[in-house]
Amino acid sequence: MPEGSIGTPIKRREDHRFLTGAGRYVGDFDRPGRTYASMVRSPVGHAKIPNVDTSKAEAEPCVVKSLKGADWAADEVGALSGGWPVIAKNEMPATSHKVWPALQQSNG
Amino acid sequence: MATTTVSMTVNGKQVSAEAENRTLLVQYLRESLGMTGTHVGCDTSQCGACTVHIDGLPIKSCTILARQVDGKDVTTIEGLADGDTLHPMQEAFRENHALQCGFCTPGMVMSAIGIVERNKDSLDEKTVREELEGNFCRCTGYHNIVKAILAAHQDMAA
Ligand code: FES
Ligand code: FES
Repeated sequence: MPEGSIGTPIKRREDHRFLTGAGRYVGDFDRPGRTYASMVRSPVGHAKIPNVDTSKAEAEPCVVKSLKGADWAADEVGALSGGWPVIAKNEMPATSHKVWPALQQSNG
Repeated sequence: MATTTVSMTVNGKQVSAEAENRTLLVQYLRESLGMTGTHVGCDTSQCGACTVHIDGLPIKSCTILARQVDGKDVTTIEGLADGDTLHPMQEAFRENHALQCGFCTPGMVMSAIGIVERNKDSLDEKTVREELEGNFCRCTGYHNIVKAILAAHQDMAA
């Protein structure tokens, strides 16, 4: 780092591509077999979840798979920092926590 | 699914592609034309990441069907720079560190140009903040974006 650069703003190299629409984000890639995940979030702040009925969603032809908290736990994916579950299982820890993601073939 | 041929001018080039009747302009740009500079942040008309200009006016391209834009003139983020020379708004964003991850940036820049054009004679911080209501940035906290827009207003008026 050249002397005197501490505390001085420097131009970032990546900005040019971000400013001209040339960035490449995950959603910009199209790979064979790509699926989209849509997350269902809790409509309430805190609640017990006796059951999540995904049968209707799974009956949709575009839905590849739906995952619930139990699937997530069984796959041993682990938790977020602080031990928060990625997908709530029996209890909703906070507002907007994910109840279940469904993978679908298109986002239409 | 019913499709029609949808034609328009995008960044000065005549384009044409088959699109389903329900295809949104943003999908047409990203999927049919492969122009991924315009982003989808929400799909629900809230975030503004998808903003483009249609006949010179900023519009959220997730709120309009591609076929409604048939025959019109569209400008996207990819069409702003003149070769290596950035548009004054792009340059002001770069100078003022008005971006971090850059996801909101295409929509921010397109909306920002609209703000400057609507307020050519005078533009203050309050107006910028108010008129930027339809664009979300989850990284920067807006301060530098507002600074960039005010700086670009000076440059664009000069
Ligand atoms: S994707 Fe159009 S407003 Fe968010
Ligand atoms: S720079 Fe990341 S969302 Fe705005």
